[in-house]
Formats: sequence, C-alpha cells, structure tokens
Amino acid sequence: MFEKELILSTYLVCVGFFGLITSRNMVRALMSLELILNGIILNFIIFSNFFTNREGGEIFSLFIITVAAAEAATGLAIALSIHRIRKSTRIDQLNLLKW
Amino acid sequence: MNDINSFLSRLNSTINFSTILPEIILIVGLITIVITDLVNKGKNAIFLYKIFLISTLVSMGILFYQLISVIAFEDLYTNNIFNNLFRFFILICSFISVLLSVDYVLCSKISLAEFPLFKISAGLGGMILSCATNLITIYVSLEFLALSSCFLSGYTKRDIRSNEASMKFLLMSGASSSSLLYGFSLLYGFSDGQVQLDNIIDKISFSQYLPIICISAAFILAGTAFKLSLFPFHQWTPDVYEGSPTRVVAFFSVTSKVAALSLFTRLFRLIFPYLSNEWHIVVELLAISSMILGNLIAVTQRSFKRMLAYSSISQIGYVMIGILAADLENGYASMLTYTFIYIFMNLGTFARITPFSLRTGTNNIRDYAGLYMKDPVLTFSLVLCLLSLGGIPPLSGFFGKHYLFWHGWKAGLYISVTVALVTSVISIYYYLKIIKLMLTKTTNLVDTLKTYEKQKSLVSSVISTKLKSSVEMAMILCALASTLSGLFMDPIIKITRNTFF
Repeated sequence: MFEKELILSTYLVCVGFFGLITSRNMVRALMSLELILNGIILNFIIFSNFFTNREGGEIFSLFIITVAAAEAATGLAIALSIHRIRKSTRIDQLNLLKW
Repeated sequence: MNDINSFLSRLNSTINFSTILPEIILIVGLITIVITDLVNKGKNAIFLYKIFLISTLVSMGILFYQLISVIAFEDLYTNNIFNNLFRFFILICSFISVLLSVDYVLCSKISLAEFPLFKISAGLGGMILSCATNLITIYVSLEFLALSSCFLSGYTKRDIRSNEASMKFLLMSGASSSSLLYGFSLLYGFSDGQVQLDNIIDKISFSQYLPIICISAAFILAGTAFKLSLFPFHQWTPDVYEGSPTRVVAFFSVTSKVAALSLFTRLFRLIFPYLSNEWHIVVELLAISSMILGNLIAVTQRSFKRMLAYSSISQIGYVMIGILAADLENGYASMLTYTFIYIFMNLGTFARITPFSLRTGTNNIRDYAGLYMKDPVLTFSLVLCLLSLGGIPPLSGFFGKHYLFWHGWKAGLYISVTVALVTSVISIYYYLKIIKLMLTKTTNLVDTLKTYEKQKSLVSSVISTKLKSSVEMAMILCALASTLSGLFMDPIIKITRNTFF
C-alpha cells in the first residue's frame, strides 16, 4: 500500500547503522545515531497517516525527537571530555579496555 | 480562575496519584537535592546522601502499603504484584548502592551533587519501566535509565578508561534502543494505530501479518537483549564494567538488569503468545550461549571487575531459564526469587571490592593474596558472597539455583538445565580461586597489601566512623541476606507465586 515510503525509512535506518559502525569520529557516530532515529520517526509518521485517529504515532514522534536531543547532548558531553584528555575524538584509538 | 479550578477537579478525578506516590517522592527528593546543593554551594555533601536515603526509605514504605491494595492508573500503569515487586527490587538496589558510595565521593575531588542526582534519576527510570504498559512510556523510561547510567559511568572525567566506557555504553545503547523502537513502529503500524500493549494484542491479526510480527519480534529481542547482556549483545558489559567507577558498576549492574528483566518478560509474554514456540527456542539458544560464554571467559580473567562482568552475563543466562519455565500455578516465582537473591549477592560482592580498591588502588585478583591476615571481616564476608554466587549450600545462591533448575526441568527445558548445571560447576572454580588466594598465608605479601590500612587516613575521625559504618552496614546486610534468604525462602516464594499474566 505505501511500500515506497516504508522502503525510504528503512533505507535511512540502514544508512544510519552503516555510518554508526564504520565511523572513526565520535561526532560522526552521533550524527548517524540521529539519522537512525529520524528514519524511525518517519516510519511512525507514515503509519499514522493511514489511520483516522492520528494521535498515537504523532505524539510518539515528538517524544522520540526529545529523547534523541537528550542523547545527542549526552554524546557531545562525552566527546568533549574525551577531547580534553586526548586532544582528538577518534574513537578507534580508544582501546584500553579489551578482552 | 474558573478554568483552572475545573481543570484541577477534572485532573483529580481522572488520575489517581496515590498509585505513583513512590515515584513522586523520589522526584521530590531529586529536586530537594538540586536545591540543597545550590544553596549550600558544595559543602556538607553527606546531607545530600541522607536526603536520598530518606526518600528511598519512604518510597519503600509506601510501596509496602500499596502491595496490599491494587489500584489501576488508567492507561499508563497497572498495579499488580509483578510490577510492584520489581519496583521494590529497584528501590532496594538504589538504597544499598548509595550506602556503598558515600565514602568515594568524599575522597575524590569531583563534584558531589550530581552523583546522587543521577542515581535517583536512574532508579526512577527503572521504577517507571517496571510498570509501563504503553509503548511510549516504555521507550522514554528505558532511555531515561540508559542516559542516567551513561552519565554515571563517565563520572570520573579525568580517567580515560571511564570516558571510553561511557562512550561505548552510549553508542551501543543508542543503537539497541533504536532497534527496539523500530520493532515498536512495526507493531504500532500493523495493530491499527494502538500504542497501549493491551490494545495492540486485541487489534493485531496474527494470522494475516505473521512475517511482519516475526520481524518486529526479532528487533525487539535485539533491543532488550542488549540491556540484559545476553550472548551476541554482551560485548559492552566487560568494557563498561571495567572502566566505570566501582560504585557505579554496583548500581547499574543490578538496577538496569532488573528493569530490563521486567521489560523483557512483559513484552514477550503479552505481545507474542502465538509465537511462543519460536521465541522460546531463540531465547533458549541465547541463554545457553550466555551461560557457556560467560563462565568460560570468566575463568581466564585477571581483573576482578571484569570477572564479575562475565559472571553476571552467565547469571542472566540462568534467569532466562526461569522466564521460559513460567506456567500457570507458579507464575514467575523462580525468576523473581533468583533475582532477589542475585541482587544481594552481587551488591555484597561489590560492597567488598569498593573499600579494597579505595585502600589499595588496584583491581587485580592477584593483589587479593593473603587478605585474611590484614582484614578478616572483609575476607569472610567476601567468601560468603562468592560462595553464594557459586551456588554452594547452605547459602541462598544454592536454594535459588535449585528452585530455578527444578522448575526448568519440570517445564521440559532439559538441554538448558543440563548446560546450566555443568557451567555452574565451572563457575565454582573461579570463585574458589579467589577464596583460596585470600585465605592462604603468603610469606611475602604483595606490595600493595603491605601498605593496607583499615582506617583511611585521608578524612577526619568523625567522618571516618560514619563512613566506616555505612559501607560496613551495607556489607553486613548483604552478607546476612545472601546467607539467610535461602533458609527463609518459603515466604518469598509464596509472595512471588501469583504473578502469571
């Protein structure tokens, strides 16, 4: 019925996951996380368009946007404190904790 | 004015505030802590901890009173025994872990007010997650818990390992809760726009949309298994446990696991009853691999905290058997009893590691050699808690495991129970290794232990008696609970029996 829109949102989620896994920079990983959440918000909006009672999906989308903002703030605070110690935000160089 | 009056009267008639009174008291405690810290400008930090302890105790009292009566809070909460028990568990976890952490923040020169703040908010998130029956409430409280734990784990800013641990925790928890959210979006879409869990089950037609429901079940499983640290999603656990400060690890190793257990049970029991066969097989596989992997890798560890991380992965594997073995007459009694005992065992072990690492600055297992000579109280309480974790009778770990495995065998999970028994025996090895190391007299002590002192010389004598008593009170409480709960297990089982829904 609305396959094209669902494929679009799934595509965004997949691009976000790929970016999260293969990024060397902390800020880039956070951007990919935001992209994943945006894809899921789009998914909710697509579904809510179909129903007469649209409140559930749209209110849920507002909550997700808020939580995504809080998560981005947390991530940037961590990136800042990593940068203060190491003078770089490359996360593939953080390998003190292994095995 | 008339509008406000009519609005308030309508609010009072539709919402029954007495149901969420424990959470309201915690929120009031949170606000009091922030205001007190601003007014005092950083002095008198013990007062903040007293506020936290008092608010937790008052919440527990009110929760006891509410356990008698059952009130429903319309759409967002439901008060039944299952939810209330989990809220009570999380309050116990918060209470005991705050007792552990009082001395830490006085000895280190980091700002003090945020620590109880984040602990209260994480406890609050866990409590709301235990009662949530709405998709929105589940997601928001899960993220609340995760973000507060993330701040807690990165608390020692100057330590690079703490920063690394919290970075790993944030990225992986963000990825997994978005996977959970994708599963929720599919459930929302195919159940005709319902966000309430009960309404979703009513409206979704399983026969027509079975592939989609399987896909959404897979995504939801990935999201919740991360928090529980089951097998393929367990990679964050050892790194985060090793990097974060020990008091924080004590707190979120029990709190987030208990909250995630309640979430997992509710989601899979309510939404996917028609898929029982499929998800039973998958969860059984996950549980078996967690038990095997957790116990085998814990044998090779040299750091105490990392070993405890792997052992907690295997403990959750055991608890999964309890979830699978739930039936009509016993409910989730085995899982709840084992969770209750696990809280005390785990917190007791961490209660002994924290003063040791504060006094000697090390977490290696080899540095525990000969501790018996320097501090017999710590040694014996650690021995009791480790033996209880291993499952040696007559301590309570044995009774918890026995009940769990018996239920599993009765429910027909023969492979899981056999694997669990074998891996329990393997786990006794690495617990006994530590005990042997502590109790044997060595002629040349390790350098770190030579400078071991019972009293910390950093703080004044008045504070040191109070600090000594709070951590020791936590130690003694946990030691007693992990030895005696097994003998008094019958009333606990009776309470946790009628929890099937």
